[in-house]
Amino acid sequence: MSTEKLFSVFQAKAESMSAQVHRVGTYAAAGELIAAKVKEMKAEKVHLFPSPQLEKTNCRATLAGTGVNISEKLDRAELDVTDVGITFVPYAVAETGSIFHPEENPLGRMVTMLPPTHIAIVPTSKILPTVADALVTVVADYGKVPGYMSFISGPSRTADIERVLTIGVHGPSRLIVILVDEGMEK
Amino acid sequence: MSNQEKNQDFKASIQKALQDQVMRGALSRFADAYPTARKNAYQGVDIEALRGEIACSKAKNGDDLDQLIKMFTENATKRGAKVYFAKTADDANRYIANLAVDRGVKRIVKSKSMASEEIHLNDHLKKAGMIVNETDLGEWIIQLAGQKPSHMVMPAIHLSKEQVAGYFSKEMKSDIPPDIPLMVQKARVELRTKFIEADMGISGANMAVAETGSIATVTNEGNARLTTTLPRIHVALVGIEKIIRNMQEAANIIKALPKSATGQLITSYVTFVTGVTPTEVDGQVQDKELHIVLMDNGRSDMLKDPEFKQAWQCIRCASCLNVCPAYQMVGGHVYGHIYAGGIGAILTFFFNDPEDAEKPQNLCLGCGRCTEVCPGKIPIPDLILKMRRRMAEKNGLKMIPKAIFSVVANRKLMHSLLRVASIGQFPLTGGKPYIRHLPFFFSELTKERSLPAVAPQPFRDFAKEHEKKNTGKKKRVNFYGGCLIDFCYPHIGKAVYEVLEHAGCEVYFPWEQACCGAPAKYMGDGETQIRLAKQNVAAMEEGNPDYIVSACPTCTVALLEDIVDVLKEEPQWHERAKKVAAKVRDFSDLVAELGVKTGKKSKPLARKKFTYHDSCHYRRHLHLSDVPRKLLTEVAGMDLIEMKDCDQCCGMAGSYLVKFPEISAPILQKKLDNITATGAEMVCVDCPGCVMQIAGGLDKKRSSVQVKHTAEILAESLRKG
Repeated sequence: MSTEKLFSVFQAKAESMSAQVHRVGTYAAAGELIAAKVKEMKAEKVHLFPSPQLEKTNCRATLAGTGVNISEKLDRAELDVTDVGITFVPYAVAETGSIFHPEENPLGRMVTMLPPTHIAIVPTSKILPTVADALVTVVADYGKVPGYMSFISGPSRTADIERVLTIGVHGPSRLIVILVDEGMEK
Repeated sequence: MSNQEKNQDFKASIQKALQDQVMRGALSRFADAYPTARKNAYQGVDIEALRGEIACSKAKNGDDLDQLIKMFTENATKRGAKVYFAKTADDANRYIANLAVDRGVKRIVKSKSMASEEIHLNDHLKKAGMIVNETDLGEWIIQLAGQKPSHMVMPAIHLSKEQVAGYFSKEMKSDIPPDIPLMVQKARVELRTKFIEADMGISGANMAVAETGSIATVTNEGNARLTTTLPRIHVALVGIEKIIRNMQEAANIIKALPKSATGQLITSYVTFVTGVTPTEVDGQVQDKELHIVLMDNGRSDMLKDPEFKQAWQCIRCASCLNVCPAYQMVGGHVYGHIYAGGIGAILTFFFNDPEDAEKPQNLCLGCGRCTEVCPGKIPIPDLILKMRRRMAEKNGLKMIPKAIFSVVANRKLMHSLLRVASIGQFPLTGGKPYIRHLPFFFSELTKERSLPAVAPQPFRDFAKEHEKKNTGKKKRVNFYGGCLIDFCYPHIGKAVYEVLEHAGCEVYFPWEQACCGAPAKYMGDGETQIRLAKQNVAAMEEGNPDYIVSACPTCTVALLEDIVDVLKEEPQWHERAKKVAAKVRDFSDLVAELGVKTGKKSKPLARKKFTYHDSCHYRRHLHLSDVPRKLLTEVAGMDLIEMKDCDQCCGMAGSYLVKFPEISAPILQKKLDNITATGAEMVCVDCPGCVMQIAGGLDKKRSSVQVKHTAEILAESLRKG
């Protein structure tokens, strides 16, 4: 499947599960978009999990421009009251509209779990066709099964009361996926 | 408790469930939405291939269990996990409670685990002094309510938002309004503190992958991720049936489980934990402790039992409950222990106590809808029958006195009693061909439906007379009447004769034929079933026929499959049974094959609107749904209007309406509503049992919709004007 086809399947499936999907050309553009999103939701605190890809977005600078409080401290109490968690996520899966997040670092995981909004930066070139492909690829790339890995598909949800679908129980109520084309083979 | 008391208890729990309008509403809404949601979720997936792969790999995993347990243990241990094998519920409870005490644990958060419900883990931990909180919203509600889950995937489906608001108000000591989004937010805040403070997290697992030592959870709320990430100790309680070989098998289960469970493409989270990972304790990074408790608790007994090993193929999606007509009526709390539905009765039999499964297993209608959707292709109704037979062998037949079956099994006695009944019943029918009221304890049977009167002349008397003009020069059909056609609906039998003769056959009625054995089978009376099988084999061999035809799918299945199965221990009989079975054909199927033409310009029934009800055995055992539809539209020229849930059981299900008239009635009601909604003037079926149930229900409602067996329609269409 071509990248374009994978993208369109991913986008349709992810949106059907209430994820927000954006696509930008460069990491720099992703950094602008992150700041715009944070501003739009009037967030006061954001939590970053540092990674080389996140540095490439220059989001520390763009976020600073919005006046938001930025933290990267591993502190569950602080993470509990932060508004947005921002991470790089290395893969996505087209068939299920999921992002696929292998991560052993506790901060890297907690920023995706505790805040009400999770913004994920994902390379467009790493949209894989299926869950099965993702499980093979991750072992090839990491040399072993990472200690903790999650397929994340849309926000946290429940239908436990009267079968009424309600978004945002224990995890984020908003999942924003920003796909970055930069580094993609033409 | 005496058996009679247990029966009363069980019946009372059913009554309570049937009167619970909140639960019935929720279950009915879900049941209505589920088939479409499931179908949409599986769009683009070769579902049959996927079911085949899952069933096959799960069966293989069962065969290789010892090796896989060893492999899982080694690989998880290599990654730093501590793996404990718990043979029994006690072992598991003790290990986890001791661990908590030893590590100075005070607060425990739990994500959803049916295995922990199965062994009442919370009670043990509370006794050991721990504060335990369920964090799955449904499970937490159940915990606050002090109840048991009523569905494997949706534990609180039986509660209304008002009830939930009541439990929340009490727990949070403030007035919480019954506003669902608000209550969900309250739960988030309330439980978030518990996550942050907990020293131990207990999760279940949907899979344990042997090749990598990983465990995986499939969840929507995100509580399992918090449970497995925040506390310094993680305990995973895993039933050994969750062990699979590799990630490819995991991918297949991920593909099926959410779609089958709730009609979701995938759940919000699918999480793999492989060995020890770090967490944060007081601001410092520290490795977590990971304990994996592999629990047997009756599972390997089930696996080693050749009659039940297929139940190992269950992936706990509960799709069998989602399509079960009986579950839809009564919900999960009547099933005796923790696991609900047909599969639940089987699991309870092995994991908990055979006694607890004894009453609930009777709730199975045997309609087979569950098997059609099961990702592990488990023939649940067949397993239920095996369980029932085992119980009957051990305890005797309880629900209906064995005396009744002795009558059914005794052809002469049964027939003479029915003849007496046909004379004695007129005060009941008021001269009409239905019994609207029955005296005494049978009254429940005629509350929602009229029962057919016993015909004044049984079909067999007509048949003997009719047979005299046979020439012996055409294809010979031996007709197996079955009790309903023989005694209540001789006109269906006559129609069968007309059509088969039109198709170039001569039809005979072997006099010694007896009850097909299905009622005995459904009661677990194996002995009677064998006796009847022999009698019918001998009877149907008469005259060395070309075909043996039945117009009742239950009888057809009995003659096709059961007589061969029950006689397998006796080689000579087995051979004879196989020869008989090879000639057995369903009426409509044979007519379609031989071909019939009306040869008339104007068809008497042309353009009449009809709807078709798929009888359970007809559709799911004989796979003949298309055949009568084709005959009715092409030969008779009628117009088909499909009804909603045309394949859902009418509630007749053999002796079910005798055992559970209170459940059978609302199931029938749904069927009648679906029939009426089509606006058709006629409903056609291929099963006299369904004719009896549906016609009785329509008569009681004074409906003008007619019920016809396909044979009747064809006979009328072929009759010379």
